[in-house]
Amino acid sequence: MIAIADGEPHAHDRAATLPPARLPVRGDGAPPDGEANVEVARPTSLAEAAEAVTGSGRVLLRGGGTKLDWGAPAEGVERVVDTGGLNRMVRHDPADLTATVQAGVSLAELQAELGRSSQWLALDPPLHDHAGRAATVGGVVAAADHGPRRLAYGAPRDQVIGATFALADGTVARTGGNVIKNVAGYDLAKLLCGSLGTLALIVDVTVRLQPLPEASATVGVHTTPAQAHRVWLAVSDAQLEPAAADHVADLGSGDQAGWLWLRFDGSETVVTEQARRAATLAADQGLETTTPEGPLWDDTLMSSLAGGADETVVAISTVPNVGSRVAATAARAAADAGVEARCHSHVALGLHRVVVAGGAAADHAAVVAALRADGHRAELRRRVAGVDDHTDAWTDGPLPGAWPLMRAVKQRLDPDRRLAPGRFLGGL
Amino acid sequence: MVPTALVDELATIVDERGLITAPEQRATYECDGLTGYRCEPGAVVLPTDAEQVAAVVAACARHDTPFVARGAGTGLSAGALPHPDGVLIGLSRLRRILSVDPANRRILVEPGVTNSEVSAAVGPHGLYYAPDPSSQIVCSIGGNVAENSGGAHCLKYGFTTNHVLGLEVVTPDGEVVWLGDGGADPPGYDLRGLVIGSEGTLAVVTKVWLRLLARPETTRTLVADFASPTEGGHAVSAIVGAGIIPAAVEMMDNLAIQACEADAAAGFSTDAGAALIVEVDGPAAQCDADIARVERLCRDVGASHIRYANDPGERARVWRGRKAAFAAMGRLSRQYFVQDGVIPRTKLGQCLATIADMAAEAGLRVANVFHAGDGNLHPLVLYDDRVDGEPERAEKLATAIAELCVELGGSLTGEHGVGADKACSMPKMFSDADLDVMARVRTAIDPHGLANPDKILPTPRLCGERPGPYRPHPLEEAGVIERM
Repeated sequence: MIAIADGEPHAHDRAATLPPARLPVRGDGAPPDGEANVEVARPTSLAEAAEAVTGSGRVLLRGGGTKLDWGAPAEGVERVVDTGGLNRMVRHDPADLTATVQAGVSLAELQAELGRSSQWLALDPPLHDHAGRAATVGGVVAAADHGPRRLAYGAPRDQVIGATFALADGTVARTGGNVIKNVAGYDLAKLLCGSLGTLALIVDVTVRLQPLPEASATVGVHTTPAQAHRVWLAVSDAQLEPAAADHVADLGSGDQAGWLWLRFDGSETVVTEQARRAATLAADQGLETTTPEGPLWDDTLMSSLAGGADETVVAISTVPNVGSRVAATAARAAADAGVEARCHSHVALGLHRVVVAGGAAADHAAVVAALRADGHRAELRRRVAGVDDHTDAWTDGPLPGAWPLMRAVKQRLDPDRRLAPGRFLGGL
Repeated sequence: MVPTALVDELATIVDERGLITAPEQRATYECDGLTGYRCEPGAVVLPTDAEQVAAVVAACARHDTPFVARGAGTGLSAGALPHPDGVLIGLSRLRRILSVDPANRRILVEPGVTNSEVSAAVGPHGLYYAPDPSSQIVCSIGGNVAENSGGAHCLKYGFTTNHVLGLEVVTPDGEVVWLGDGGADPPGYDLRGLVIGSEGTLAVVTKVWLRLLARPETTRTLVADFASPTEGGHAVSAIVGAGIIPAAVEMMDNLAIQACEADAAAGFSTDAGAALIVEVDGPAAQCDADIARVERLCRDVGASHIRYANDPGERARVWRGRKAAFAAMGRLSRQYFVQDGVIPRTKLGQCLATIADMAAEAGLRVANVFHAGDGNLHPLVLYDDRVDGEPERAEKLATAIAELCVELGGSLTGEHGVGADKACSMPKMFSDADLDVMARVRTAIDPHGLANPDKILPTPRLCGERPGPYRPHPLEEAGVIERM
């Protein structure tokens, strides 16, 4: 039986106790706009966590509060369960490259702690939202957020090897284990990743870790979105291995030209050589290259992905080689609606974020509609108030064929539909 | 026995070759790679496309008849052990490569395509499919998906679940649905990730989008000899501690080396206590730096001999030797049980010492081959089925080893799956609540319990009232199945 640290470290652990995670800026724990008279529970142990999700009310789970508006608005929330009190590192085994961390620990603090052993959890989503609230590990997993280096290291689902969770009926259970290689039983952690708090309260996750790269080098190539994909293929065919390949463009210019940033991680001499070879490849194609000024990956691009206070972020998923259509469609729609937009693409993965600013909520919704009309899956992330009055957060079209299976899973795990009802795809 | 009415229906769905009802022909499908468990299926169907698979499953559902899917039959946990009153669905005739899409680094295949056929198909584009189970020449992609297969290179590259972009499946009611759309993230709940590794108990896979990688620029391989596996384990710890993630780290103990050399003559030192194979791949400059550091670390720990295998022929020889390990056991013993437990790598020395004690107590030999980087052991419990009581002792030892791995903080199975073989040990690893939640999810997808029942989760029928050391399968006691 795998023992669970119920708020206490294992006796034999090299346990690290992290300071409590920062609470969201709305200090009294008020839930999303428009809700009043909502109680807030802040469990500090596994038992309290299980207790907190039971009962009869509709529950919204909250970590740092940085992604509360992902998915559709939850219906009639009566209680918020805040994970800020689940803020301990349960175990860190550097020699085994694994760690178990409670859901309320901020990702930034986790990385700082792991960094002391020259390791990291290989996820680089925005660590803070526009208001400075810190993203928690539980929230990153529940939202399946990711960053540019997903190209090399994968998404949250590829890092989580185990999880402890509480169901709406108070059942506490564990999935996976403490070892990276494990196929015993169903991989329920996959269901939890991206479930936006609609299936269970994630109490802790066990994750695989990576050694911190010694060095990093970045080259920028000036390209249109279509050229960006071709450059990525050329770089990959040349057997260069970028950790990230992100194209960022303001969509005001005619051809959506912007910068393709290629990041290489590894030993100092190796990354310098890789970046040089990539720059040469680009120059051979007649493309302008540059090196970044300032904290590109940690700052500029993170803000771009997270979106600002008055911006709507739309997450689009395509097959990589048609990704350029996203920028083109978004540019046209933004021009029609009289709003500003930029597009941030993980070129090799076909994952894009179109960020819309200015104008009214209806204009932002119009951009979303245009992207969907062009055949792309486009889901809302953070957004300005009112967008939900004009468009569904998930889709305009038919639900995926597998949706009845998703509903069946939801019904088995949350039969009374109390965990963020209505938040998930198809109103689950 | 399956209902006659169902057999008549099946005859209208598949061609003549595709329906097998004669007893001596059904017997061909009575076991998979775990030959110790055999059970004749009620009927066998061999469909040729997804529509036929769906129609077969729908027919089974209408007749409330269980079904078991089978790929190449190389599985090692009796995942494809048939149900005596069920239909065995063989997927080997779904073997087309449907789409090669190099610009998007992906390929669409039917489940009967073999693992190595995938890399062969995309080789001309400078691409390959990373998960490489040792049986890759024969094992099927569908089977890989069912078991979430790993292989020697999974420490760096992950498992099947990290390389599947989409699955077309037939659900237990006979509907065809896509899980994932071939892009990076499936919409909604990650049912794609749930089905991978579900061992045929949730759905039958009929198409798979696989993720491809560009071939690394360089590969460097060395073999280091040590006085014992414990020392080899120290070398692995040193390598990981230095921040190097090799593409593969494999270890064999002396008994395994002897078998491999007798069989494949791969150049391992037969007097070494342990042989450690370390392979790094990636950009040339990174590889050269990393392998040099690996060599130094191995020598620091006390490696008695280092051999580089840098030309492709030599490297292939090393890997052939390693991958032939199970088959090579035939040189040492008439029979073996192989286990698949995982332990935290730091517990390797302790685990091997305990296995050695347990083996001595049982009077049996255990050869050890393992994925040293991720702690996945393959203890091969050798026995002679002609010696009275030896098979029973061997099975008991094999189960005890799997459960020891759990006690040390690891897992019952790293890649072979639970199947029927380890279902009764699941309560050693998971609580009642854990297993109950798994059962709830399974019921959500398969409410009537027709998809490969009696696999993964323990049942009183399978395991008796209390889980514990091996007891004969009830079907065995009833004389329906037999242990060989």
